[in-house]
Amino acid sequence: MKKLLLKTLPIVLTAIVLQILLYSTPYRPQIFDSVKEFETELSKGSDTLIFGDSVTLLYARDDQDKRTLGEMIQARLAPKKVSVFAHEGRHMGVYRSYVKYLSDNPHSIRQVLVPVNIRTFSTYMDRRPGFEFNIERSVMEWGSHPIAKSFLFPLMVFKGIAQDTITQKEYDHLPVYHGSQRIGEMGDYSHSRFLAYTDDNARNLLISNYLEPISAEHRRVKDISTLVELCQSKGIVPLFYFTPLDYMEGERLIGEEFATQIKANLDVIKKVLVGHGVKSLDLSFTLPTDHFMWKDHTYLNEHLNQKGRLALSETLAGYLTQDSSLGSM
Amino acid sequence: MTFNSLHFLIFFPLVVLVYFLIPHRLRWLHLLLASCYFYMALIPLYVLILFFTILIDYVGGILIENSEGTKRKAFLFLSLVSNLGILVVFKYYAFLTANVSSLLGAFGISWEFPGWSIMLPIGLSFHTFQAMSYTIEVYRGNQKAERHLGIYALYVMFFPQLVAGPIERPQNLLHQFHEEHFFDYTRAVSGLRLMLLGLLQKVYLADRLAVYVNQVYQSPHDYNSTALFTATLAFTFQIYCDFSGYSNIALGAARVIGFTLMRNFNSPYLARSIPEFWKRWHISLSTWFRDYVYYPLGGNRVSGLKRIRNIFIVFLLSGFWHGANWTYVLWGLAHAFYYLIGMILPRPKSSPLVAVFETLYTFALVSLSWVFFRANTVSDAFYILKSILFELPLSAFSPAAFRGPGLWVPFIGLFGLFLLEVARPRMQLTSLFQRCPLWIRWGGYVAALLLLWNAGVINAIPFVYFQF
Repeated sequence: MKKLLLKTLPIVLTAIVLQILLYSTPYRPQIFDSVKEFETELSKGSDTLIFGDSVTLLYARDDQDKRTLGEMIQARLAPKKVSVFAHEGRHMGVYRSYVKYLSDNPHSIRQVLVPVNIRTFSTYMDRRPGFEFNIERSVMEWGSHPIAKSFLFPLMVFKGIAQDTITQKEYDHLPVYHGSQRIGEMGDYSHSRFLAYTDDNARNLLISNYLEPISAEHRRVKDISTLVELCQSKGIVPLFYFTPLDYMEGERLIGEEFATQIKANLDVIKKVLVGHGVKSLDLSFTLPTDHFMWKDHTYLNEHLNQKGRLALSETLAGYLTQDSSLGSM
Repeated sequence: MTFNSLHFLIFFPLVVLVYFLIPHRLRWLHLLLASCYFYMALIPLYVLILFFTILIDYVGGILIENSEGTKRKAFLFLSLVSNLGILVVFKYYAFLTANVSSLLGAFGISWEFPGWSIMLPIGLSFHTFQAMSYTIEVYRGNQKAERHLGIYALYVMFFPQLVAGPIERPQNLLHQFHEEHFFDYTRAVSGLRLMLLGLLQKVYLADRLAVYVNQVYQSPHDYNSTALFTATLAFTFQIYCDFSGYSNIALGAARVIGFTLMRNFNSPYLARSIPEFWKRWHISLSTWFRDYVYYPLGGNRVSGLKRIRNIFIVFLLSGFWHGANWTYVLWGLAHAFYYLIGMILPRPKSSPLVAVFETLYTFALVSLSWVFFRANTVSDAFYILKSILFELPLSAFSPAAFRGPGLWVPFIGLFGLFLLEVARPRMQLTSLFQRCPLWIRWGGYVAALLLLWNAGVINAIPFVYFQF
């Protein structure tokens, strides 16, 4: 057996060296596209980076102004250059990975604007297959390491890194909570997003999106701490804002407990931010229901319409300008 | 656990290392525990189903051996019914009840069977058939009943062939668990080489081909006849690389620890007739049906009509074995028809040109039958066949059809595999390779590793035959 080990070792080592050499060339498989895209954004030379998800990205069909929130902020802050990274379904874990990439590479970013979309902390979003983005996250976190980056792709091919940690079937059986009470399984609630807008379907979504209590031990809450620490270690200023939600619809469909549970969850996160001495702007209960659209995409959800994006972009542009520790921009 | 996972790449060397470090008397236990772990890494609870069949067949084997006449037959019957019962409950219940409901509906009778939504235990058809071959062989007196429950459990659960075969016979495998195996460098290298080839077949060829095949077969009506033809051809190679890749890894893994499993594939696409194809494709299953169904029905030694009946029974069962879906039944039927036509048609005098024509003709027939095997529904299958047979333009045969969907990458590898398979019966490839200078041999291994690491796809489907 010793002979086999002694003969296998140089073969494997040679392959490892060649693999590392291969990745020292410009060759990259498709999984590295997120790096390319992010690098393009960073190459603008801006000092501000805005993260975002579908709430800020999508628009209503009858919107006159179809610009994304990021584009609206960029226009308000022009001629100053602002980089935007926004994709559907992204959450605090993904932002953390992008900030890790920032901390590993040279760039001009000095402040990042991070949305805290409280529904991405729900089991509904956080555990949903296809929404953990483990591959994208691994590439961003390890893609700058000279050796690790060479083996990310093989690791993914051999299922050492999986896009999701659970299957759709397992997800469908996860519990849904209404406050502390377990009221059913995810499969009974999550399918509502593919149905027509009715009070029942919207209520199901709001319950599964917002009414599960979260704790400081939640993995996405911990991601906030890591993100802040990474920023602070590299002299980047993290600015957080809590994204607006359709609280009026929530109160209409669920009652006062809707706001009560959300506020309790927001407090958990605010406490963490305060603990790190980081500023945040709570916009959760600021926009009335006519600033949202629910039905304009392939799935039901409360996304901002033109009115909502314009209002939010104005607030955020002001936040970046006035409250920034970088001073007036 | 699947062979193409990091989990297995860590698990396997550890199992081998411990196997050769511990004394022989403990090795069965080590392999059994490793096999349990291997199986339970998928869905832990399903190991209980395996334990249940193991207990039944273990006791069944002893009872059969100790009895005679009708009693002996009754014990065999009970064992077979238990095995098939489990198969029916887990694999065919939904299919059977849905079809019975539809049939009753046609007569105006509304009847709903209780729902049974459960995932099919991985490899159920494989280990059930292997277990059945044990009790049948004990009944026939070809195999002594195994008295050691652990060894018998290992016969059913031996991890290299637990979830997708080869479906072993007790005469070939059981005695090997009693024998002491010593580490053999040459044997281990040859096993590892086979595993490497199998992994390349799966990761580089099958998984890459599957990307295009899945896309087209998911919604065939969205694609033209060229795409349907290309996807069908791609599936023909995908299923071969996937399944023979699995078998190679299984044979290789077993070989490293000193076991010999039966060969499951022998260049099937080089067959010159359908009967020859079945002697080369999934050999462990086709010989199972031959030995336990076809021969007991009379085989070839019966009248023409009965022989036709026997052929249809075997192929229908083979189709049904693959899955509870009419598409598999039609696939089996198609092969039964091919087989009969091959029996009726006179074969031309052999010449190199005729050999090439026969090989291509057989390959075309087999490829067309795969449409039933892969299509999601029977109507999809007929749509694809109609499109390929009646609407295919000549441009479908141009290289552009393969360049477009990016199939040229795996097709380069397939060409290499084709050369390997053509050369295999003509020359001693292994000894030829061993005679090469060190830098060529090691260079080959390094290149294979690099290909394995870089030519695969992410989120690839599991081995196709896992679902059976």
